[in-house]
Amino acid sequence: MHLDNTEVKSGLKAMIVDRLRLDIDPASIPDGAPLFGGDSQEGEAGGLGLDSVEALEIVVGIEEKWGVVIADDSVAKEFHSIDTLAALVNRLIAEGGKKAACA
Amino acid sequence: MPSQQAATPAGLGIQELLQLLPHRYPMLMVDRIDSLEPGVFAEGIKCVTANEPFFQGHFPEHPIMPGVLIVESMAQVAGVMLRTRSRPDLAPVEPATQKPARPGVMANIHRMRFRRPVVPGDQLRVRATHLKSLGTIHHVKVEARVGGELVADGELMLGA
Repeated sequence: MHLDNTEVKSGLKAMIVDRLRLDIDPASIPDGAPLFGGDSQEGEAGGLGLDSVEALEIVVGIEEKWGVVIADDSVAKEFHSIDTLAALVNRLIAEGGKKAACA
Repeated sequence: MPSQQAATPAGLGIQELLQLLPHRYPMLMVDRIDSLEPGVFAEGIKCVTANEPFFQGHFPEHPIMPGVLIVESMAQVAGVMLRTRSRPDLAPVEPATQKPARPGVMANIHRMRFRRPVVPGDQLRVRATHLKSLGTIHHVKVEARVGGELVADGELMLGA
């Protein structure tokens, strides 16, 4: 199974805004801007400045929305922007599809 | 007798709980841990008596344990599960100073349901199961039963 990347990205943005109760338009989140880190102020360069609790919220949100399991080391490596999250989701779905096909 | 309790890795008595948790009267909401797999699972009990201080006002003619205190009990059992992960030996936190353990924090209460009231005489049996961790933040599934019947269940995010 392969999902349209634009669909995954808009799904991610909607989930993040809903789950973190952000008072912003999901479409206003840039694809490439860093989501985390204390330095980026909200609105500045598009970064959301999310913290570790919010990161775990996003992990749980992705797992629930797409029925995948995110490995602990993926969070450090692949949690940077909407682009990297979408790539992670697509990879996990593809891996899940392969496993299902083998079973 | 702590030495005998320490020899029973499956459970923890009150003296060991007081070393693991910073909570004290009237906010200590777990009396004993009966089953423990550090970092994975814990099951403990909180005996609810008519003498609980919160029953004075919740409610004078109609004692019901506040739901948030059931959640607190869940968080403390989860805290024991998480804190023993780094210390499987269950040694005291700082035996030299007898300093209480550092506080943990609750970051999120998710999908909590309260299914029936908890009243004096009930023994809360609280389970916490680890779901996911990210650094020092932990996502846990929790439930509380009285006499086998589910009284509350949900998920917590804790910094421990």
